[in-house]
Amino acid sequence: MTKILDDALLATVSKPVRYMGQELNAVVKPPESVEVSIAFAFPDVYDVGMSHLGSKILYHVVNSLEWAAMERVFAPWPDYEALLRKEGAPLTTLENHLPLNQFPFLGVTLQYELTYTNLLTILDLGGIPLLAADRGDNDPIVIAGGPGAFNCEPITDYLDLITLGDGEEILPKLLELYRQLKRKGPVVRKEYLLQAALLQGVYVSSFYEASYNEVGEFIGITSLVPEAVIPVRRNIVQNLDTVPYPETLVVPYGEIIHDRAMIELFRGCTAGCRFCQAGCLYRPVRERSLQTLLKQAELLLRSTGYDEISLISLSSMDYTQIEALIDQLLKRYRKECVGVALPSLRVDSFSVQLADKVQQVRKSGLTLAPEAGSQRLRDVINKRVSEQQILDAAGGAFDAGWSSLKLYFMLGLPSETDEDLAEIIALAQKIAALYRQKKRRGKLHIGISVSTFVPKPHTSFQWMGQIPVEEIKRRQYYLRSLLRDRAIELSTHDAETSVLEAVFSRGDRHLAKVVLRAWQLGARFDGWSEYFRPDLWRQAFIESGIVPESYSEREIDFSAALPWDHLDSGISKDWFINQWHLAEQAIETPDCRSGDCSMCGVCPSYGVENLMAKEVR
Amino acid sequence: MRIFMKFHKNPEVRWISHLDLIKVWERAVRRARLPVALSQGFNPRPKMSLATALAVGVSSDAEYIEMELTEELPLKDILQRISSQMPSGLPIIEVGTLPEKSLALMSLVFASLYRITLPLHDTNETEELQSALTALLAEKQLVLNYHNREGKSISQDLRPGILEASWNAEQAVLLLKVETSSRLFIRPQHFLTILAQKMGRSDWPVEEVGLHRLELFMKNKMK
Repeated sequence: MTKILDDALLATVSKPVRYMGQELNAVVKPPESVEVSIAFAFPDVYDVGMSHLGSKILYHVVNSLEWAAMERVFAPWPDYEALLRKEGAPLTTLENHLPLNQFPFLGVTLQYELTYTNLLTILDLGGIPLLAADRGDNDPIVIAGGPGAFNCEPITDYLDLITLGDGEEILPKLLELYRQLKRKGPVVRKEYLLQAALLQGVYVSSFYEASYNEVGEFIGITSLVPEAVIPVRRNIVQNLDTVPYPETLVVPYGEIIHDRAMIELFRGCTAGCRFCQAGCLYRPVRERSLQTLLKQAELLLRSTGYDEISLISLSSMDYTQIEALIDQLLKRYRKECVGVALPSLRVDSFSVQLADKVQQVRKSGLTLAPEAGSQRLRDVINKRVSEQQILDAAGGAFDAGWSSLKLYFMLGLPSETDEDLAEIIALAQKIAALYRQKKRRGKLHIGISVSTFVPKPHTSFQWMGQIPVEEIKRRQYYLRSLLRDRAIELSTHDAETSVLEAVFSRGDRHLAKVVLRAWQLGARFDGWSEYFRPDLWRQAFIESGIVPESYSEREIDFSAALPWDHLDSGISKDWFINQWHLAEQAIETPDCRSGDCSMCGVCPSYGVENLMAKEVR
Repeated sequence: MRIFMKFHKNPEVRWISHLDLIKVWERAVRRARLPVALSQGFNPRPKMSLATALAVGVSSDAEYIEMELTEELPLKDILQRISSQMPSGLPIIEVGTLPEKSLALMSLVFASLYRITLPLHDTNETEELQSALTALLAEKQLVLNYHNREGKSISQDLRPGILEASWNAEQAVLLLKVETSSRLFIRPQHFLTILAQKMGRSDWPVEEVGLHRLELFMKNKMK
């Protein structure tokens, strides 16, 4: 596999532009002009990967170093993978069209569990041995990061090194370390990994050994070398104003999911929704200042020519200076017809008013996420939204001219009963009634999107089992049976997909062989319904002698060791247990931004604190 | 003022689709801060349009776009501002004015001259090709039956749209001039399909041959 694909053959695949490169603002450095290079893989298709902000940040950070280069690679769509295999050609990066095994590093971001088979495709077609144990000094060092790093155990066999937490400072350090070693002579993999393990936020999984009891349940992990510490602490950038942010973005050809400029308002969220993993992995809240954001917006809009800018964070309405920011952006760019996109609305009328303000022209659909139908269940998950707030938000949207509303809910939450589910439909009915009462002209449409709850590691619900697949389907069917109103449309997620997500979320190292087997059988793009093959996964589990339900449905004891215990989010286990008990009693915990500290432990443990943007006059 | 620009679509960016190319231009004029007029309506768009679509996978030395500016600017300045903002692989080679009242370039496009690189292996094949070409051009009708993208079966006589076809031995390329107007649009691949049939080479991967537009011809001497 050395001969690069003849690009005339791209005519035979769908969307060849995904593999073309040549985009505006792509950084193409002559390979011989840098000391260290890294191929960075997003294990999904180009359209998805190019929409991901974190990758853009790392691309900028590395390429800003004059001695280093980052090149991009994405998972090949099945038709392109088939073409590469037929031609015996390697998967290459988009910048210099180099095979992946010609880089000293392959980076990969773990955004969701159902991309693991794509990771194997990328390694395999990149000419990199799948198992870390089989790699030699001339093979790339495979580095993973992203939220999935906090439970990467199911795929550690395929990774050399994992970074926990914010990546913009640790990645340059890891490349610098390599640079220093390289100056002394050929880099020995083992030596590099031993030195890297000493850096905060670096987890070299092969330096740790997991143990299991007689029934195969995880009981603990031990370090094999002094360099490997337990727990592995994460990296936290306290002040985001001080770290690099892209001054320009690669502007893709072809349609991608989020084709717009993006500014990141803040990292972290302390709203405290008990199901939410992101709300635990990125604490504390760290807001960028208004001046920084406006400067970044200006640079990005000027250098890309985008006509839309998206305000990114886990809950953008909670940005302290959100009104000032929106006012400034509208004032500066409205005459140039630049739109402002708010990807995450809070369920209240304030948010709807702001959404209305930025959407003076295009009244696209409005999305709200009450997450649960009944007040009791919303209290269980600490959503801290009352029914009145939901109705006020919907009413505000109707008054502002919206007639199409999308509502997000979850099914299978802890303690959920059929009555809770019935309240999802009842809530939608109340909203529909509200609309009709207002006697508006447009045709009402309420889309209810119901996903299935997946217990996530590093959340208060991590010990809880997911409901069985038949029960998921029964509850979905039950919901559907309650629909009476033609203005209300229900969509649910594929049950088997959610089960697989739960298995890998709470998985351990035993699962590595299942991923490999499923991939060998042909599993690819498991997050895409048109490619997901539950039959192949069932076969892979059987052949590996693993019962998936023992991961997805298992209730775990509070006292049991968890496969991700050694990967430290900063939140104490006691806090999670306390939150679980509060959930049982449906008692809310306030947001520590405005209310009391609930003592999750991140701030004292890491010497950090919530950092809010100051008002600017 | 109404202006046009002529630009290349180099082989390395030939997979950009027509719709994507429109977006490329919209963004380039934004970056260049050219005062392009906006359309009226709820969703104002810059007033600019490409003269004709170029199929995905085809490179070109002769693409045209026209646009309306809200103020008069020296052509030299326009060229300078926009040139520095074009992505690599899409260089602008000419900027000119258009009469205020003339028809849109789109309705003036008449024909395209293509350079086609064929998968030929030896001189035998070249000779075969030349005689097949002569024979084809002697025909009164060249009917091709095919299925369009929607799967509808279509029967089209290509002959009236084939304006010139010659083998350039020196460069080992086929030069093909076909009508590409709104009235009659001939895909070069369709001509190649018929040519391959004539040569008994139905295995030719006509969708993968190297296609390059050398020139675009307009009605009324508009270039």
